[in-house]
Parts: sequence; C-alpha cells; structure tokens
Amino acid sequence: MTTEAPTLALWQELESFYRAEVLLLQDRRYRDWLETMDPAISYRVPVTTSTLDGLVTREDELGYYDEDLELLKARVAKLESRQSWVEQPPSRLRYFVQVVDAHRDGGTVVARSNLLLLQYRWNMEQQFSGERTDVLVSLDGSFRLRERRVVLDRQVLGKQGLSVFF
Amino acid sequence: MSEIERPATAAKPVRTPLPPLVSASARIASFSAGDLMAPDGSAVDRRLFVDEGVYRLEQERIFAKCWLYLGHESTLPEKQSFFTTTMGEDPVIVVRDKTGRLRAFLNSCSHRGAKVCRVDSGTARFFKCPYHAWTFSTEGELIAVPRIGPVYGDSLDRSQHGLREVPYVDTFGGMIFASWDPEAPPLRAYLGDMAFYLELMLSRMDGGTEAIGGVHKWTINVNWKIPAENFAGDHYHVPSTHGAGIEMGFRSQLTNNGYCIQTGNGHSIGSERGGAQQGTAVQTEYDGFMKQMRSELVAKYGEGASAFVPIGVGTIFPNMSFLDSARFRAFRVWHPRGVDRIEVHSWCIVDKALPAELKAAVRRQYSLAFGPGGIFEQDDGDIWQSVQDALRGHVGRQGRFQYRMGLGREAPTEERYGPPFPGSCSDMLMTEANQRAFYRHYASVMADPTP
Repeated sequence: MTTEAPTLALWQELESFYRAEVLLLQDRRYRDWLETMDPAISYRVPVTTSTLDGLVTREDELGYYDEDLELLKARVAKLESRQSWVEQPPSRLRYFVQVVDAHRDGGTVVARSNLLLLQYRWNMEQQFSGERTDVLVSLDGSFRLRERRVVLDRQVLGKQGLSVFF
Repeated sequence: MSEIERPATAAKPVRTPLPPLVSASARIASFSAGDLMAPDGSAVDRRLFVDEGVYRLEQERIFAKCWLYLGHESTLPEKQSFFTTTMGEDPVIVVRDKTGRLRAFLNSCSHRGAKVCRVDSGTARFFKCPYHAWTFSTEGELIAVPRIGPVYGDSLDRSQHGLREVPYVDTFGGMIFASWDPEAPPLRAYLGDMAFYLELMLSRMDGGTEAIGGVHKWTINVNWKIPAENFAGDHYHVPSTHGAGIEMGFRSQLTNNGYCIQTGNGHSIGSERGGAQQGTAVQTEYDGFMKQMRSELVAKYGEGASAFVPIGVGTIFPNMSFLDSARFRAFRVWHPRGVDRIEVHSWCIVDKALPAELKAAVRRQYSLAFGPGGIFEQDDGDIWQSVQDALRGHVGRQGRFQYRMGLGREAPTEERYGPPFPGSCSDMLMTEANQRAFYRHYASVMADPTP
C-alpha cells in the first residue's frame, strides 16, 4: 500500500463529492444519499468516554450510530414515515463541511473533514460539531463512501433526540 | 398495606398487595396529598411535574433514601476500577476498593467541595482534588493534605475528613444499587417480588450478564417521572408514538395480549406476549436464542412461563428502567437535573456467554432502536419534551393527568399465569395499572410522617 500526498485533482474531486453530499443531507434526500454508499458501508458514530488518559472511543463499544447498509436503510424508512414525530414538522438543517486532510491509500482515499451542523425545529434548536474520517472508493469516475467514522465533540448529547445524519 | 382491588366475594388471600391508597389529608411539600392525586392513583395533578417544592422534597425523600441503580458490576472489572455517576443530583464515584469491595462516595472534596474526579471511568490509586490538592484513597480516606504541618499544625485530624461515603452499596445479579439512607431495608427486601422477574431476565445463561462498553448519555427537557412511569407500564403509547417503527417493520402492530405486573414498592414490568420489538425488518439470530430460552423456562415452570421470555419493559422505583425485548436488552437511569430536565444514561446488556458476533449484532439492534438516535426512543423524547413544554404556563399546570385505563381489573399474577409468578396483573396489556401503583408508592414515600 502506498500513501500519496493529495494532488489538486484529488482536492477537486473531494470538494465535488462533499458539496453534493451536503445538498443531499440538508434536503433530506436520504434515498439518494444511500446511493452514494458502497454496499459494504460501515457508518459509525461511537460514544466518547472521558478517562484519565483523555477522551476515548472504542470500536467494540456502543455507538450513537453503528450501521451497515441494511440498518441505514431501516433508519431512512423510519424517517420517511408521516408518523416519525421527531421530524414532524421537519427540521431545517444546515451542513458545513471542511476537508482538512486527504490521501490516497492504495485504491482508496482517506479524507478527514470537520463538520458543523445546525438544526432548527419547532420546539428546539441544537448544533453538532465533530470530525469525520471517511474511506472513499472510486467507481465509474465518482466516489462511493465505504466507511465513515464521526467523533462528535459533545460527550452528552443535548436535547431530546438525534434524528440527523453526520 | 391495602389489599388489591377485587370483588368482595373473592375469598383467596392475595399474596402481593398494591401500594397503600393515598391518604387525602397527608402532607406532600406545600400540598395535601388529596390535592395532588386520586387516592387510587387514577389521576395525578399536573403540578407534580413542575412544582419546585415537590422537586426539592423528591431529592430528600426519594433520591437520598431509595435504593438507586448505579451501574453494572462488569464495568468495574478490577480493584480500583471506578466510574462516576449521580444519585439524584448528587455526584458520586463508584469504586471497587483495594480489597475488591464495591463502595460509593460523594464526588465532592470534604474541604471545600470541588469534584475530586472529573472523568467518566477508569482505574485510579487515589482521587486528588484539583482545588487545593487534598487527596483521597479508593477507600475514601484523606491520605494527603499539602503543607499539612505548616498550615494546620496538629489541628487537622485527617481521619475525620474522608469523602462522604454512601452507607449501603449492594448488588443483585450484577446490578449495583446504593442507598444514602442509614435506615434503608436490605436491597433484596427493597426489590421484593421484583427480584423474581429480574432473576428471569439476568440468569438466562450461565455466567450472567455484562454491559457492552460505552454509555449513551443525553438530556431531555422533561420531569423524571414521565419516562419512569412510561417504562413502568405504558404500552398504550406504542401504536401512536411508535407508528413509524411499526410502519417500517421493526416491530409488529401491538396486540392487547400481554401483562402489566406490579410487585409492590413502585416496581413493575409489562410485556406483549412474545416480547416488545417483534418484527420482520432487520432480524438477527437473537430471535432463535430467545426461543431456546423460552422453551427452557417452559420446561421448568409449565406453559404459562412462555410469556416471561423476554420479561418486558419495567421500572424499578424510582428512576431505573429496563427493556428486555425480543431483540436486545437495555438498562437506563433517568437522572433528575432540575424539575424539568433529565440526563439519561443507557446501556446495552448482553449475556456474557453469547458469541461475540451475536453480541455485536444485539448492540447494533439496540442503538438502531433505542438511545438518543434510536428510531423508537427519538420519538419518545420528542413527545415527552412537548408534555413538559405544555405544563410551563399558569393554565397548563392546572388539572390532572388521567390513569384510569383498566381500573379494577388487577388480580394476583398466579391466578393468570400460575405459580410461582408473583405480583398483581391485569388481564390485558393496555392498562395504566402500573402507573397507578407507581404514584401510590410515590405518595407513600413523599408524604410527611403522620404524628
């Protein structure tokens, strides 16, 4: 496996992927968003534990999200229901994504990005910030998301529910 | 203790009484109990969820007296392992001391009050206060005071200034509980007949249970009693609140075939036959495992026992709830954070002997459905917050919530399921019998002692 520094072309390719994803997420076009994923997707938002050695996340521990494609589809099916009260009426979402590091690793690209998400609803507003580490694979000239790991900055989630994707 | 409500012609003595009827003249904070609820618990005043005086009294009479769930023993695997949590609003450190004994201490320096531990969990030889560096052992003793000679001379007796210790810490089937009350009954007596059902849930496999690592923590702007009574026995909310989860097939449409059982002391469980979260979407091998466990229980107690794997949703008074469902098992505590706010701590609990792959699958099923992002729990939290929002105004706090469903239909559980199943039980799933029992017990704990 060789690791290459990012070229201008790679940055442009990544920009294009993440801009398109921002639109899908903030328009809540979740079926289309699932289409950007590799069938072997691993999508994890682990809980953070504060320890004497600092803030720790572990792969075999609980996640706020701990999904493969089938479970992501189940979540999307739930959110599509008219009885999904946590999104009735729907939230207004605003995503800000900043790619901070990327490199090719063999046939994949590993990209780290900062995420800021603002959510406004009829009865609450909240913001999430965190760091995403994505593994992307190329297919037919565009990226597919194979792995996403999001570490949120908060240790205790605010407000009553978590009904957004990161 | 009053007898269970049943026709006067019934002759057989009842094994488990309901909590006593609420005496209208008893005092609860600045109210008479009759102002706050119906004697049988079938109506509860809205002020119970917003009144600051009631909330302060709950801190004293409930959270500084009752046995409270702290966590699972498996999360303290070795000597000097610890985790931090709260008992009511009081912060505590729970630690396995140098001898292996479980202990709990107020997480507040005996000198001037700062927290001596500010992380979630770990292993420590001592706890050093960041304010003035007073240092305490895992046994709670004050072991070091900086410059003790020059600043105190011989006037400071260190043995008098240890961390304040919770007098009682005990376990049941791996569950750690503690009580601040020097007069507390033993834990086993406090759990009463609920212990029988807990044992069914906790000893399905040799080796018992363990908590999957990590804790879901989130806040909901709601009074702590709303989720506690929901888990005590609100099955009626499932078709509406969780309509979306039913629509996409995670669980089937709720039937009215099941039980709500209360076992006294405010504890209760309830389950649809076959367990909550039976559904066709995203299945795992856990289903087959539960079928096996069910046939083992039937072999032991007869056909009636098939209703008790899994045992269902329940609340151990005051604020510990569990969900033993067809897909996973979760424990949680609704920590009060003011009259209108809670911090939820929630764990996924598995049988230790389950294969690692199945543990991981169960973990994913749990976080898909419960926890802050769970496709069921996200709707609970949203609706509970809207309840609290509606109680803030002058008019919104007037009147009473209704808990009349299934009134008078309780009978001893063993009349319906045969021995040895204890408690009282309704003849249908959708009843508010367990909420009534919760509030009747609540009133008995909260009322001023009669002179």
